[in-house]
Amino acid sequence: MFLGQSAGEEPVPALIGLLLTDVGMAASGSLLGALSVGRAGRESLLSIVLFPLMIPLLLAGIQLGATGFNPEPMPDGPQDWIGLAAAFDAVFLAAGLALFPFVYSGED
Amino acid sequence: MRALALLGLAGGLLMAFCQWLIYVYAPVEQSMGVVQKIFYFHLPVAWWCFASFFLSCISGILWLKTRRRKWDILSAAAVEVGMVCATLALITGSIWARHSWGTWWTWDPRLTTTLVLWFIYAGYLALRSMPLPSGGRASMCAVVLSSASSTCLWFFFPPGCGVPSTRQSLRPGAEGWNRKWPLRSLPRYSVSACSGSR
Repeated sequence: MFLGQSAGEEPVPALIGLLLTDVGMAASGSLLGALSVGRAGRESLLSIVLFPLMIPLLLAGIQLGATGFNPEPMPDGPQDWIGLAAAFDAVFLAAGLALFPFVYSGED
Repeated sequence: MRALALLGLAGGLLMAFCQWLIYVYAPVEQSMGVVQKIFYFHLPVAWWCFASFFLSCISGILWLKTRRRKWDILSAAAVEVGMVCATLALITGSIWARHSWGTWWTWDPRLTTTLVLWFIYAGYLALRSMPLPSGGRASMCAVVLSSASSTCLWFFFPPGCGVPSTRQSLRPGAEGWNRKWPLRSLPRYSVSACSGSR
């Protein structure tokens, strides 16, 4: 395997983590992506605002992804991290539903 | 305006009274000594930082609903006050940590999350200072604030809410909610991700 890594015993939590992290990044990224619409120079602003907000999700993604490669299972089990990633997704999907009209109202 | 001046005066007098209480009335703590008095500043500024951020979120949502300019101004002012309080909380906490833990900074969950919080709202202030059309900027700021407060909530979840934990907080009084976060490993992961090894 790539870089001599071995796959872990349980790939399912890692795959769920991959999916949830993907959805969460897409949700938060597209919600705040309106920041970078228009003038140049706003892209850097997007990363300044977006990255700290995504830290909980990234942590969960890292932890769950690591279980996919670590032969030893997580001491506390992966369910808490899956819950965290799912909660983040839910919050940002709901926020997107509620706030999209304000963000992309074309007032600029 | 008159009421505001009176409130300001009363606040000033009460603050002075608090200083007297801190330095004269309250005895010097036995084990920690005079450094313990920093808690009389550290804790209130940390609380007020959260109160301000909460207020900024509420007023941001009210701006989106009502489009009245006063809510936008209030949320911006609340973030500025909150940032001052967060900075003071980080600085006083660091001074206390130097005395108590022998280090200025450690990647303790509570410290790290407060720092991340600081960065989130610093990003907000950067956004605020951008030359954008005022209506669009206010809406964007309000959206950032409501997302930021949901991340804040996660940072300060009480124990037993299913918040993952792999590491204990060093903070005094954290026994009840040692969430044991793996935040210490975050820099290590970043380094190993860059160097391609663990």
